[in-house]
Amino acid sequence: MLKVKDFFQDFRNLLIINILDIRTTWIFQMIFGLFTPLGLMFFLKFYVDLDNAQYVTKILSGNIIISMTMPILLLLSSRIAILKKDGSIDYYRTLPISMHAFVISLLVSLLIAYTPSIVFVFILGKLFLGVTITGVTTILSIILTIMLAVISLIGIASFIGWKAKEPQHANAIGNILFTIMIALSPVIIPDDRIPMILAKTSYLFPVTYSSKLLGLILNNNFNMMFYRYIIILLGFAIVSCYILKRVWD
Amino acid sequence: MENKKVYISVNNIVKSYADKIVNKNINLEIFKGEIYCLAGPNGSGKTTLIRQMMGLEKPDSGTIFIEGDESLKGSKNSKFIGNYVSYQPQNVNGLLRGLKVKEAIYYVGKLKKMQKNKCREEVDRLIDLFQIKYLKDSLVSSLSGGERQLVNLCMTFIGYSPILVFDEPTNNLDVEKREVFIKEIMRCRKECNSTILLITHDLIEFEKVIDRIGIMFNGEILIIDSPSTLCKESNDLIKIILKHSSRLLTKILKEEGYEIFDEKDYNYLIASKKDFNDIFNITQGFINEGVELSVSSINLQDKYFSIINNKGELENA
Repeated sequence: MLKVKDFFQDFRNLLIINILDIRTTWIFQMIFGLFTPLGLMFFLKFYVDLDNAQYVTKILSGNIIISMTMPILLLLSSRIAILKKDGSIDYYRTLPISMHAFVISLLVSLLIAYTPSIVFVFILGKLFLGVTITGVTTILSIILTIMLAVISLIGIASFIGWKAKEPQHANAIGNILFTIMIALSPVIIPDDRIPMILAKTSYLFPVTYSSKLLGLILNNNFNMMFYRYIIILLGFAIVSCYILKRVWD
Repeated sequence: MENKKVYISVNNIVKSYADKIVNKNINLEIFKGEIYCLAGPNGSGKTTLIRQMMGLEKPDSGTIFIEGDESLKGSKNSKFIGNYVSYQPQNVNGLLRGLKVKEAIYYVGKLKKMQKNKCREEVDRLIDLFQIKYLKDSLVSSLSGGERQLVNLCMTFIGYSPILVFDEPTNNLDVEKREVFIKEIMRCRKECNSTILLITHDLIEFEKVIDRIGIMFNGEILIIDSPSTLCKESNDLIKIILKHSSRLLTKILKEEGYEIFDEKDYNYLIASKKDFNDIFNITQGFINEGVELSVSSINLQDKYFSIINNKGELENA
């Protein structure tokens, strides 16, 4: 019980530190977070049949996934690499704190900085694409999907940040992975237009399932596939937590 | 010190990077409440040894015990070191850059599990002590190297820790702040019986406060003793101070086998008392060039240089 209390106290203090630490730069991070999904949403509007509801939700769910994937894969991994390089992580390791609380607080601080971007994507989805989100079940399902999507990537992001010799390496690897996961999988591109080989490999990435799950939620399809995707994402999340633990233990 | 309890015990530590051995079978014991100094030229393996003691790096072989418990057995997530040690690392320019000075010190105190009110009081006390009140609302990222060092020291002193480890604490500090630092470590030792481990090049400054010094060279500990014993052992040595501008005099002394050290306004050399007459005779030839000669007993820094130079010469021979 004391350990749990200690963990949450560490988490609280570290979260405040991490939020305060990015207060001078978070506005730029938010703009950075908005730039890609908004740009994609704007251009895809011209290429995709907006009368097709499936394509419309695809654009919106894909952009939400991008808004979440970017802070985790690109920012979390490079932030860990920077903190490792400048000696901050070593400093934290000499403090009587849980390093798991440290990395989770780092992630949550980045997500807080990015929340306005995600909310903005929903607002624009309503304005440009006419997608309205109503109902407690839908909202809770979206939150669950976002949480599972984030947790399923935190392990690999930590691994990249920890193993990279330089922050630039972490950034480059994060970018490559981001491109493979997003651009070469059916996150933005409709399933029927993606090359077969990429369609097959995309099943290796959790973002494929989180974007499909989000698509189902936005179309109000709480069918068997909905539960299947949740279970698959849970599997990814467990593996991710295991990697996270291995990296920080 | 001999009757005191061994608090930190380093046994047969070997550490290498690629093909270079940076710690060669290091053994040392540090007592509870002791102020212990590790000195040595750059690259002699001091920081690597400290990092292993902090559990930040694993040795190739050997063990380190703190109060009888092996410090290296834990994981990266272990709180073992954090519960014992407060550490001021060298060169942590990125640490808490986005926080204000008072916030950085306060939250490090909170992470050390201090109570809110006690933590606030301690932040104010340290800010007053190191005279950085004018900086308390400045972002750490906006500070100069010396100011940042003061904040790092405050972050190390906040909260009680049985062991305080400082890696070059007085770098970038002015004389007044160095005095404040020394007084504060003395207070920690007196009031809390803290064990203090220092890595420093400022031996003159610390000579009077350190209990023992371990001198490292090329990955080995050459000698461990108290400053007074080290200087006493060198009773036959003297420091000859020369104020002059003659390059020829320097050249002749070097040719005679003396190591000449440069200070801002003078040169000096360490020699045995029996060599004094020879040196005196050499300098007499330059009396018309305004050479001034004076003699003093040697201090810890002189002894340190003498040990390091002897070892260097032996290795080069």
